[in-house]
Amino acid sequence: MDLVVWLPALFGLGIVSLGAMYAFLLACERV
Amino acid sequence: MNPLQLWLLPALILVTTVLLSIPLSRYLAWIMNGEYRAPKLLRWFEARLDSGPQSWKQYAAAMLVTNGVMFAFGFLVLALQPVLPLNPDGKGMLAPTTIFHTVVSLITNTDLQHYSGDVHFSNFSQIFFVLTAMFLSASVGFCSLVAIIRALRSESTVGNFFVDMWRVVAYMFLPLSLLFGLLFLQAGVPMTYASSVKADTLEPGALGTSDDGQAKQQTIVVGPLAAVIPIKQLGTNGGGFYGANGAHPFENPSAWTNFLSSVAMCLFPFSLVLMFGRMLKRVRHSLVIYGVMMAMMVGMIGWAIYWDTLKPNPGLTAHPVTRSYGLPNAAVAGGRQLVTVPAVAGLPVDQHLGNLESTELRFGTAAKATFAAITTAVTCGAVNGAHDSLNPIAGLSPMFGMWINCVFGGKGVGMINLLLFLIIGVFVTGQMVGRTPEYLGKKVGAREMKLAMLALLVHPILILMPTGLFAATSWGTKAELNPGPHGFSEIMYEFTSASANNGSGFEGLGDTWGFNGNPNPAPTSAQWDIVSGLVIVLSRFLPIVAPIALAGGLAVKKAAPFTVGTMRDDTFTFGGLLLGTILIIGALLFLPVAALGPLAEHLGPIPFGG
Repeated sequence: MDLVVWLPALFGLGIVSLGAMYAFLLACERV
Repeated sequence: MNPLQLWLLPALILVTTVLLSIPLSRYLAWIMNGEYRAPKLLRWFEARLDSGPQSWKQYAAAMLVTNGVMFAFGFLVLALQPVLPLNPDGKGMLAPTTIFHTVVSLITNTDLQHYSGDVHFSNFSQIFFVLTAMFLSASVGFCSLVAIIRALRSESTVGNFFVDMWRVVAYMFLPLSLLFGLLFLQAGVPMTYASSVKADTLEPGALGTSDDGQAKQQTIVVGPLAAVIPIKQLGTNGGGFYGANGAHPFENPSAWTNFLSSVAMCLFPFSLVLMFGRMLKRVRHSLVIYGVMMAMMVGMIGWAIYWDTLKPNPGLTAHPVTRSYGLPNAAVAGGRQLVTVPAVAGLPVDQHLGNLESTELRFGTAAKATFAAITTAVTCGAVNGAHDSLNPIAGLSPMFGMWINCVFGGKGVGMINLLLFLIIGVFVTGQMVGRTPEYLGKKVGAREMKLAMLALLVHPILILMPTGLFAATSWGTKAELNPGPHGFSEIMYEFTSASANNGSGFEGLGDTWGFNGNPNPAPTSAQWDIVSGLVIVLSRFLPIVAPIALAGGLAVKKAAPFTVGTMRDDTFTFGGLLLGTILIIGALLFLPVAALGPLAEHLGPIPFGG
């Protein structure tokens, strides 16, 4: 795998998916 | 077979753990209620961590931020592995997708391995990332349960996440890990900072000869196992130092270490149920929950032993007629693979000890089936034999444990999952008898039901949708080792294990890329890494955040007084209601995939059925 592309992409995927969990937390407050 | 020998091991494991869980639950409640007085140095450290009381939202946010930091740290360690110290064998960098999968797997207490620790990790990665993640990830579910308990006690704040995490790690996991580490060490588990040792083979030259004509030596991978194995089991992490996990003679040398490992992984999940009752001052209520969980646990162990240890391997059972079947297999030209079965027709294979495929007899004949049931019930994921080798219908036992995900379950999260079933059970029953549903005196309304159903439905959705996607496309069919229902089970088990944050594998799947420079990675391993990794993240945090929000809402509700019309939650009838809710809502969702996988395999033609 091309490290220049895949390493930052997958690091970003992890951070974004955890960020989505934070968005879910905010959404729970409105339920 | 002597039935005493057969049932003695599971009985000993359960009785020992039950007895230990009583005093341990008292200790856990004492610590988490903050009633202890720590030594001065530890008190100073705790004071530095204490950023003040947190609301449920702040507590959940602190948990997510901590996981974000752990992700970044783990990603960095694995990406820099080739240049970091304690790497005398010069281990390289894993493929980026495997790094992503491995890191999210370890920080979420899943430990689903698309790598082999002995092959792909340096000692630096093992000690500074794997070991750290095992301690910290194991405390996340624990802390979340404690926050929920405080909310159910109507406290305006739910504690401080960082202080709770410190308490769990420093006062529970560390001392017990030290104790179990010494026991494992005494039993022969290695503890060394060397990466490998060289050994002469019994038959000189068995591994060939070098250029100078000398017999090649065997390289045996070793490392700090006695430090890793205790928290692997106590923290229900399950990630093996070796690819073979608890079947490896260094990781699990004897029947004694197998017993210790089994007790260790049950200890906290059992104790937390009683801690729940003690902290709420509702011990009888927690005993009912404990009883329901235990009934399911005994059922799972009994099912696995009956179908695996007391029944022969159908693939080795003699049949008078040899027949050929054309089984669908996308990896074969023409799309069908001709299989002539049975492979050993007429051979006198002695199977009075049951299915011995992948069974380590040094642990006892029933040990594999027992371990398979327990490790999936408590969401540990360590294995002492390949679950792929269980008789088809015996494989339902570990699958059931992960589908339900509250047969004691992981530390904290199992109890949280059960609370969701409980809320739904109470609501449905309340509707049936025309009363306003209540739990612990708090009215269960639309908000609670929405959050509970959301948290519960995440699990089946994250199992069934990717299973369907991979089973229907070459992403799955290229990776499965076996055609037909067994291959389907391999795919379904992977996502079940990922979603339950279990980490055990059914094996047989080509989902390993390995080092980035590997010229022959499994063809669809990148897809497996990414999709399975996302399933792990979503299934970890959605079912934790939603219940914390649910409990936070209940905390501000006024408790109704107990009257003659209040539904009691500490009776046998309530236990039956809870069990029924779990079986109807939890298990029935998975009946179709059970039919397509293990049931079809059991009823189908040999060698994939009987």
